Amino acid sequence: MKKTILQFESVSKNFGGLAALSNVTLSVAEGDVVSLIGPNGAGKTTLLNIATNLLPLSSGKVFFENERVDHLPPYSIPGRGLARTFQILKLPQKLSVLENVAIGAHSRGQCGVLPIILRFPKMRLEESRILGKAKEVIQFVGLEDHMNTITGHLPLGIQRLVEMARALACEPKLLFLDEVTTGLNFHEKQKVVSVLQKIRDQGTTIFIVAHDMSFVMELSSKIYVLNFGKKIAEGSPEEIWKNQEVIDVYLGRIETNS
Amino acid sequence: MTPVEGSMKTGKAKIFASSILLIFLLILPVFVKGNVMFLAILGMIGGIAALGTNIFFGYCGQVNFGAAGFMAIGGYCVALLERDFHTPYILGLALGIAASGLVALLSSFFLLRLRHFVLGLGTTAFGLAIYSMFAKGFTDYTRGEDGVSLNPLHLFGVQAGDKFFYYVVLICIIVCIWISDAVRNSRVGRGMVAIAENEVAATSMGVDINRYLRIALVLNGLLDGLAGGLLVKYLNFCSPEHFSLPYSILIFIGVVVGGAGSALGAAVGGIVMFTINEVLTPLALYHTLTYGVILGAILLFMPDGIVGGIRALAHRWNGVSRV
Repeated sequence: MKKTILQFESVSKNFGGLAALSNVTLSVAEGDVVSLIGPNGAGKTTLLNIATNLLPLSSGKVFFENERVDHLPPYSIPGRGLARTFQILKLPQKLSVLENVAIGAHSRGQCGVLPIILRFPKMRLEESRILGKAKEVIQFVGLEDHMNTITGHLPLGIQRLVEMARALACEPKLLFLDEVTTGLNFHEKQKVVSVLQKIRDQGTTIFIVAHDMSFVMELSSKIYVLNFGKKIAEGSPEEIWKNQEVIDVYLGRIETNS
Repeated sequence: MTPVEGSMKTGKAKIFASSILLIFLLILPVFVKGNVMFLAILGMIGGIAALGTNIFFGYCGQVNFGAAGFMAIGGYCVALLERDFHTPYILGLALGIAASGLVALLSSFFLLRLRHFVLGLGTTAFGLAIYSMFAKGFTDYTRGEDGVSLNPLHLFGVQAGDKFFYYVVLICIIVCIWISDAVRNSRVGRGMVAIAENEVAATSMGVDINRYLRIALVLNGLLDGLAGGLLVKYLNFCSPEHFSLPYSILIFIGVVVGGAGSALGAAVGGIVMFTINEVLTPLALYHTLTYGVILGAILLFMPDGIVGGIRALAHRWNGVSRV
């Protein structure tokens, strides 16, 4: 039995009268690739926002490595080893790829503004460590040719990889990916999948929020299905594929055996 | 040409351009005096003020229409300390900078609750409040609109001339550019740029938004306090007129015109705006009109500011020469 790294305990979230999530319990085992699927408005991204503390939860608990994290300030989350990407890209478009990825390594340093202005040796060391890490991650996702390119000049597929590199730069134990293949062509999708496999192989736990069934089935060892804020199924890809409730609300496959 | 070579080439070009600019500024006092000298010094003080605002607006993307308020704190601190306590200038200046930073820190607790247009209104109100405090309130002490006269700066018993002041201000602006660049090319600076782009994304990267905006506002206060302290001593006169709303806006426009987000750009923009403002004064009625036309032309033809426009020209020239 693998160790649980992330645990949601009966998490609920209400937006006014709307229950975006009700009593969702799920867990992610260390080193696994876990996916969360569901139709539009099922509460997938809301769950992700709660995990990274961008949204406060209405009730329930979130544990990361057996410590409660749901009351911590959101900026302290990446320092603990949780990083994420966004469904809609949020990359500063005028910065170079290297600078963008270096932002991701932010939580790996602690120098304040005084050492920076006075250029303490400690700060120079930290700076070269952050930039070194950023370069390493850029090579890892295969973007070394674009290291100094202005991010806004790159196509969407490559910007997605930049965002993944940025999340990886904080050396996460658990990586959240929100709709990472949306809007990508087949070739770009393949590239993202191969990078994800590399990330998994180095032992990082991955939590994918997705629409794209084929992509999820290929990678995941466990899948959760949400509908209207409620968990309706969990299991291996094969189990989900056969689950009648999932078929009804989400997959919408036509039953041929009459 | 790979992008890496490209960035090295632009890096070298930048060093080359800065060196020429520096040499020009170093030998300028040999050739000019009088009015031009006055404009150069005033312009560079404007450049320092713009550099301060560049950290808060150019890096963090937060509007500041109250920068002259910080200058007022620095300026009045120097003036009143000298008048009432005969404080040496260098000490008064240090205290003025510190006081301005402190006021920035205190104001951050309410200003940083605001964003976008509302922050624009908030900072405007801040600048107006500081202005009114010196111009209309405590007039027994600040002498209101009449202002406070200062003694000329003496150095070893000799009155310091324009040349001396020129080099002092030049050193100050270089140090401010250096500080700005150091901050920008660091973990903190990248965090600030991330805030400007998207606060949610910055937070999820581990950037403590409130802390960094507070740092930026305090740096803004410190640098603009310095500008105010230099200004009053150079003019030997401290009056609320120099710290009114139009000057706040002038500083802000300087940052935009020079190229927000670039230290060199902000410095150039501040210098250009303050110089133009002074040169156009004799036009009286047509002052604002001419000013508006110049501003419009710069923003129309160089949307990324003066420095951004020059950079784009250099890239184009490079591109043509390679073919």
